[in-house]
Amino acid sequence: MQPKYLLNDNSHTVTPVRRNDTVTLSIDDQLVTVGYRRLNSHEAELTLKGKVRTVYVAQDEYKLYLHLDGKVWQLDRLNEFSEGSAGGASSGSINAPMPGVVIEIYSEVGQTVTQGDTVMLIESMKLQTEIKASISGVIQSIGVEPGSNFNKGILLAEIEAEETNTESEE
Amino acid sequence: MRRIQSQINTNSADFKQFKEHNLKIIAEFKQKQHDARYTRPDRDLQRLKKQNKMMPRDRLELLLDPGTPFLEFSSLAANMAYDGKVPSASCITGIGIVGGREVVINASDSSVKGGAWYPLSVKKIVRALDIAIENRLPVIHMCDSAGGFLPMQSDLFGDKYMAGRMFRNQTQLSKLGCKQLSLVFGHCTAGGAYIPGLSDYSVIVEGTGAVFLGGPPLVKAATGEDVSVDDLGGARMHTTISGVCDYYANNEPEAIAIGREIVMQWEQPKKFDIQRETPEDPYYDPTDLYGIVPDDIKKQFDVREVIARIVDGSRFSEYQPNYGETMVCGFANIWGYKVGILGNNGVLFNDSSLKAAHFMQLCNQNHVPLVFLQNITGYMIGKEYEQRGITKDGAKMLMVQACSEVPKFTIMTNGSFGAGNYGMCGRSFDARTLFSWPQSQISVMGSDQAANTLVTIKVAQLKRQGMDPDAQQLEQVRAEVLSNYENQTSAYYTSSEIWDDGIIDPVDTRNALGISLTASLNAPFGDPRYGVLRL
Repeated sequence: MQPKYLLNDNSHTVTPVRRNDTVTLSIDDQLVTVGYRRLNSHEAELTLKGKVRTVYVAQDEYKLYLHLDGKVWQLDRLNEFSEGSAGGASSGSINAPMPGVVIEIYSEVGQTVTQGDTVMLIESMKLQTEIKASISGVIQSIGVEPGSNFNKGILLAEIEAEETNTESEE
Repeated sequence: MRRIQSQINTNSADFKQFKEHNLKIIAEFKQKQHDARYTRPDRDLQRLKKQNKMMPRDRLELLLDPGTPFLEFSSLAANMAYDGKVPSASCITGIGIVGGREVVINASDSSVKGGAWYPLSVKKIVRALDIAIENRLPVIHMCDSAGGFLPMQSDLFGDKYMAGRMFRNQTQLSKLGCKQLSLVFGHCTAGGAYIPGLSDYSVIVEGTGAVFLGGPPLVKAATGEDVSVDDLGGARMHTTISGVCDYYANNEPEAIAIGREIVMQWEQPKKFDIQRETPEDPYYDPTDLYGIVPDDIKKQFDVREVIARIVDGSRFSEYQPNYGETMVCGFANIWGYKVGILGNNGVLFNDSSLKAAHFMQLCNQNHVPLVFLQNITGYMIGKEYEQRGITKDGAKMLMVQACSEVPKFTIMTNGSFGAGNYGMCGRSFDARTLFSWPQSQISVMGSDQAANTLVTIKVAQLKRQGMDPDAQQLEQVRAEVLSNYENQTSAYYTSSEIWDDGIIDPVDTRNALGISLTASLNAPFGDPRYGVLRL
């Protein structure tokens, strides 16, 4: 299987064929030989058909933004086989990852939280772990109190997704 | 390889608070290190001057190639022993560059107690020679030691890893083909005489240098013979009559120049070939580390943020990113060299232990050195985990780690508690080098837990004696216990006892690993082979 990339919304199949001083790529079944020399973490020298050009690169998550000849290109890898994160869809239930004790609770029932917000702080095995909101939404319930001990798997908090008008409601 | 996307906000309140906290710790560490290296009682400085001897660090500066790095080991050895009066355990050891070759330095620090060997001095020298053996490095001994510190002789002489081990290690180095050069600046008496005696090359300085099994007073007492230092073991005698030393030098700088010339005749070592790219600085600023490491050992941080500030281009190819997530494993380059990194993001569970074991097997298979970033409170305990065989999985991780044939390097970034210390290549597991960050802690359990246990024992004791301690007394007992325990848990204690190869400023981690890595390539890597894994 050959990897596909999205360049400004157009899909291309790109495979490296040879690699020595220059790199030979097969781009949509056409062979292209390029020279690439990294100058620093943002800047590289690209040699194509004998012409040397400077390309500037910036990364945002998995997208690359390339600045070349006064134009900006957006490059992204197309993942044909797995959509979304490898962890699967997150649910609003936050269960205890391990037995422990609650140190502090930062949220209350009815509060709106964004995915990644710290809901509470627990301690287990001499280590404090922040429990984060698995999805964005409204806190429906909190199953523990500060200072209380809990076992693995119990419901620490439940969040109801914000967008109630999507298919998930049906 | 993709760059790590840092989630750190350098303007956040936490970051600023942690940074302020850690910068204080760093300043204290730098001060202690400076004092250990340079602060000496005036009478010791005067004595050296009177003897027409150079300061040991000035000798070192002349010996090493100008502008090259010197990776010093255990600069804070003995900082909490002998009332703090034997800074750096009266010797200087490390890896430096002489004539373009990596060498291990073992230099007596004659500005401390005449360079006398205390028990921790012996431990430090033996460790430096172990490093030379493990990495197949040549050694330059700069001899100016008064010999074993007699009042403590029982703690430095008889046992397997005591003074005799220095000489044993010298013989093994020679057998392995690792060259040794002795520069004799002072007296090498009794056992000390074997240091030049067992070296392949030696240079001796006129007037101050001398080598003999027994000095003039001992000769007088034993046989009644009256003899001067020069006739008994001086530079002229040894280079013209006995052949104990090879080269005669009029003064110290000349001895160092001759020494450099000798080293430059040695063949350039061929290094073991591992994958290497063009080195690239980390994309993220290493000084961010001060704001990443929290102000409380119990607070967690993402080890990927640390990796991003150590590795080339902050690029990291993570292995099994969604399995056993408390154990972060992956490939990166440090100063161009491909390494496998294992860092902790929480307690070790069954799956995280298995992941670590598998990852280390991959690294051994592919000749990729291992870097351990320790921040570990231990393996998970409790009924569920015992029933799932956490002991078996921890044992697998230990077995693969301990039997690894690729070189290993360990950094104590924060906590190192219980069996986690073992699994993550603690001192007993032969890391080629092991460095501690100044705020890191090592103990068999966390200080809070230990204090609680010890207080319970103490209270039971008091009650048996018919006393009933009130809350205030309890708090006092607790504070006392905690302070004692924390003292011995601290990185300073670790480094004092030479459980590590020194404390380093976190921003120097990349360089310390870089020098350790390139030194390790002087020894060939073996093929993967393990003991029996309890499956």
